[in-house]
Amino acid sequence: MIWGDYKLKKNQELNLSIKDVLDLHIARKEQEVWISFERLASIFSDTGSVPTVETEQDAPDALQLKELQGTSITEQTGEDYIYDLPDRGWSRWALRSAKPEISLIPTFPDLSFIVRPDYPFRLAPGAQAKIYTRIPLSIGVFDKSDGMLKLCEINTVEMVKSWFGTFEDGEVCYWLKTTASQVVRQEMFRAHRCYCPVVIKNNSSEFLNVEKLCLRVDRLSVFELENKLWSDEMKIVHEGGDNFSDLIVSGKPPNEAPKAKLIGKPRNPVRKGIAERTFKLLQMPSLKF
Amino acid sequence: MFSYEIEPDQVIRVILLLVIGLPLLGLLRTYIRKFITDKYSAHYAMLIAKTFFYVGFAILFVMILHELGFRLGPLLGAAGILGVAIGFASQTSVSNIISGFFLIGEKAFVVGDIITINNTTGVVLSIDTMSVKMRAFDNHMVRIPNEMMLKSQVTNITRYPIRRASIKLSVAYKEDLENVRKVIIDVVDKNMFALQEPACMIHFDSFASSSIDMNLRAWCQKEHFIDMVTSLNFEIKRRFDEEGIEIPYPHLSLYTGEKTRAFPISSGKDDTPEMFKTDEKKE
Repeated sequence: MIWGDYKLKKNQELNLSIKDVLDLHIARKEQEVWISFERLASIFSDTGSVPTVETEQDAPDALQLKELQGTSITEQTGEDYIYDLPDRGWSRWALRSAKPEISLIPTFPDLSFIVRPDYPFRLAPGAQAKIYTRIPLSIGVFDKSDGMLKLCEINTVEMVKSWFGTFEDGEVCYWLKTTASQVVRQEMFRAHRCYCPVVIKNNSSEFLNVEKLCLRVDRLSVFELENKLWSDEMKIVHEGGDNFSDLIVSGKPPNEAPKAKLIGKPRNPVRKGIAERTFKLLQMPSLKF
Repeated sequence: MFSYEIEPDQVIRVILLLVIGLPLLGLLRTYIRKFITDKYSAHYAMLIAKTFFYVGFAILFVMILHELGFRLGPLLGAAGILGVAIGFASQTSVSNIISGFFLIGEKAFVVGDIITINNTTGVVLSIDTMSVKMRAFDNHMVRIPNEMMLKSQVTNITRYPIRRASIKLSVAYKEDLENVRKVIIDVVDKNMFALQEPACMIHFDSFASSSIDMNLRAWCQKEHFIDMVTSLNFEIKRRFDEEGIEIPYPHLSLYTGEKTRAFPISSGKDDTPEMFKTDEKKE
């Protein structure tokens, strides 16, 4: 696991890797911390130069999780070492702390996700369904020695965006295709993805067409158990009518991993009583013109 | 005979009003502007700050006149008559002022919006009493009288959060259009600025003289418009080259007379029609 705290000595470079997904480099020069990353897009794109739509079909089977991530530390000496670092598009951070301690924390990306099941399904009135999606995470980089001062956030994969709302008003979200599986598939765990259980309950008197839903991941925490990442369970209660749905976030490890340890807090720690648009589709009266 | 004397204490009071009142008005205007910009928007901040300043200035002016011993009743009456006279003499200015009220009330655009008027596009800097001031993208300041703004067609480019770009594409007649369509959709899907929804559309535009013309319509956030159009064009060209999809362009052949052959477009073998070959070449 790449998550955790790292004390960097002077002129030391730390190389962290999520196999086939992301290489992260952190180096220290005096009080300055240098950070760079490379997204390894080859498995997402045939050309390797452009990102593609995030799907869950990104990995071969039977890969061990431990093989999917790694850490190595390179130590160099000499005052000029830091200026000889490979040209990786470094960002430099001049910090207050004399001995910065870098903390890497998994966090959900900064936008909600529009999750589109490969095959839409209809939920009968009064029925409830539980689906699993695997959300790609961001890496939060903090200076632990300075009261968890946030330096930056790095999305582990490049993601495309979509619009959720009307032509006049709405919000930008990340776009994710999902199988919306109703079972947990052990072979689908990945080092950079968080398994999210989503319960959808249809309290309306009509069938609910779950063609796509807006998953507000800013309320979700990240839990870890045996190198596998989980979020807490999100319950979406559709009451019908105005397209607003009640969101309830459990705030504790899901039933599938009750002993999982909290390693990433939610951005927006609201758990109950939030009515948000979840199923509303884009209105397109003028799209043909 | 008219005589008027100013007491020293009157002068002191007027100076105090000026010395304290004007800086205070300026300070309060700055504070109000900053506060409302942070809380609401730059547009409302500008309007409220200006209203506050002008009202405050008018009150200060009246207070100073009062301190100097002027009776305001006759003065206001005279001002009314003067106003009518000035109004007749400066119809354009009055029209601009009244147009300004309509512009503010209508809210077709606000400070910070990007608008196009009469082929000029720029960011609205302020909506003033007489004119709207814009910063064009070549960093020119453009002043447009309010009356003209009211009479002209104004396009507000940044009113809505998402925008659609139309990109015209031409391919050769020999191309498999279904394949072309798949390639274009793939390019849009992978573009980091293009939105997945609203979904892009590809319209068959026309059978042109030497190409089939299509129109790609893709959506993006308003701030990414140029980035999306540029990156899509680059990527479409690259993918068309990779896939061997031809983008036709007009060929121009130059002749210097009927005795000479045309400049060749393709090199290599001699594919000049017989009629264009010179006598020397024929032998």
